[in-house]
Amino acid sequence: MILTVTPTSQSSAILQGPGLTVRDPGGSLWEEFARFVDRISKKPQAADADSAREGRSFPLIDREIVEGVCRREPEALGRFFEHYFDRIFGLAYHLLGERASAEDATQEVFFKVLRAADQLDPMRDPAPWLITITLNTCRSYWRSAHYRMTRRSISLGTGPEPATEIPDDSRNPAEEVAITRRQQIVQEAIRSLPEKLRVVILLRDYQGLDHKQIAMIMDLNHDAVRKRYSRALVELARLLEGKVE
Amino acid sequence: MTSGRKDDLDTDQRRARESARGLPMVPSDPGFRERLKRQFIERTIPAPPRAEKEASWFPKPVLISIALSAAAVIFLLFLSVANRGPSWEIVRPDPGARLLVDGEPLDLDRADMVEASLHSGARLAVEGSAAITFSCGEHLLIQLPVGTEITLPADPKRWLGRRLQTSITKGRLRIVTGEPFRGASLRVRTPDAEVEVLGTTLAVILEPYGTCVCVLDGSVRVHTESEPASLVPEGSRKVFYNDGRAPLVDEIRPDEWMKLERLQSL
Repeated sequence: MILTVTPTSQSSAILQGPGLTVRDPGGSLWEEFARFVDRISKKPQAADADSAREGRSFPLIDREIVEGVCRREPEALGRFFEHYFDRIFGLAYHLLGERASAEDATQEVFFKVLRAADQLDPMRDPAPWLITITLNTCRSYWRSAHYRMTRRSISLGTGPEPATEIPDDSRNPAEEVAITRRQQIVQEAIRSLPEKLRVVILLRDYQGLDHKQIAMIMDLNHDAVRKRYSRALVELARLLEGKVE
Repeated sequence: MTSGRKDDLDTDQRRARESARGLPMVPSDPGFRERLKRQFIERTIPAPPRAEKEASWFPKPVLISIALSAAAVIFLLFLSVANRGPSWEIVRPDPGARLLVDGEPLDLDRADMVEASLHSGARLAVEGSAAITFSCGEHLLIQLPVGTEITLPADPKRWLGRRLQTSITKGRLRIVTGEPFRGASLRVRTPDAEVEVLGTTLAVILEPYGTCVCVLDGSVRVHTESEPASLVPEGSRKVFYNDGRAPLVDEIRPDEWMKLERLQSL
């Protein structure tokens, strides 16, 4: 969202933005602005200019569902689960690198959600909170001796478990194989990243979060996130060099 | 206000970004998903197992071993310093006295040489015209008349290592123990007997016919190869013969009585 303010005199200005031009004849500039903000708040927003997502984005959950979760109503809980399960499981999978640990971590996340359900704020998107819980849960797995043993045995074995999409019937088998192979290479490369870089890449490009949200989740400032993301891309590019087109 | 930031990624980085964005949504096991959903709705998700303690950089047993070893080393160092007893010194050496330590003559006027030479197990031989008296703090006083050869016992420690021993190969050894000696013991070996000094004033005399133990104060336990341990009470003497005769118990020798009295007064 880019807004441009052009002063026309000492006491007035023109406010311009996508779909908006407001001239202030000395009247209700701010009322117009408030109406504009209200209009755009109904759409998914990008928090800042350089976070415009070209990749994956996730729909916001309805406020009524969150309110129902606060009251622990079964139907609301079911819809909440359906809304977030894939996202949480997918993130856990790519952070931990294997299915069993991802299932354990996902179960732990939903356990924590249930425990803290009455503290959810229906006015706020719970996604960043859920992602934070998922990240912290996965971190404790990284530190566990069991996980390290598992990772060692995987690295000595056949490589990472492939996380493949549901096959697309419109593609021929050769294309499917190529796509699957490419995904395996990318997954392996991301898994090879140091944890801090892996997290920022997954949050940014897999989860579709902007730098501001990532900064909140990782308890960093905006610039630190941007730099870390740049380093992550450089490192990922190096790992993928010559392996993907 | 600000305008959009330029995307300044190179080709490889752009490719990397697209690859990350192309990561698939991961299908979960349907059974797991259904089970978890049901448990979530019914609020019956089991609590996760207690979190493993964060793996420390060092495993805890290793840390404990290192800490215990360090504590043991520190304790031993402290003990070796604090347990130290007084060192041997020569008491008012007579100008006519001559001392050989491990066969080498010792300049009795050089206190530093004397201190360095008087170590546990040193072979002492007294020559010249005067006896030499050695003291170990307030613990022990030993006097070596001319013609006596002994091995110097270790200094009596404060808590540990309070069983001392010496041997006489020639002459006689007069011994006075002080109050701090209480709880310690000194074994004096002769070819004929072994004298255990428990806190007393005594003389152990090596004679051609055997060993004579004269006790001024306190008591002394003596045993030989052929005789069980027996006490020599104060004011008496016991002679252990080297020809197999039965030991003789008698009044303390008058000359030793006087010399021991004088030694006690030092």
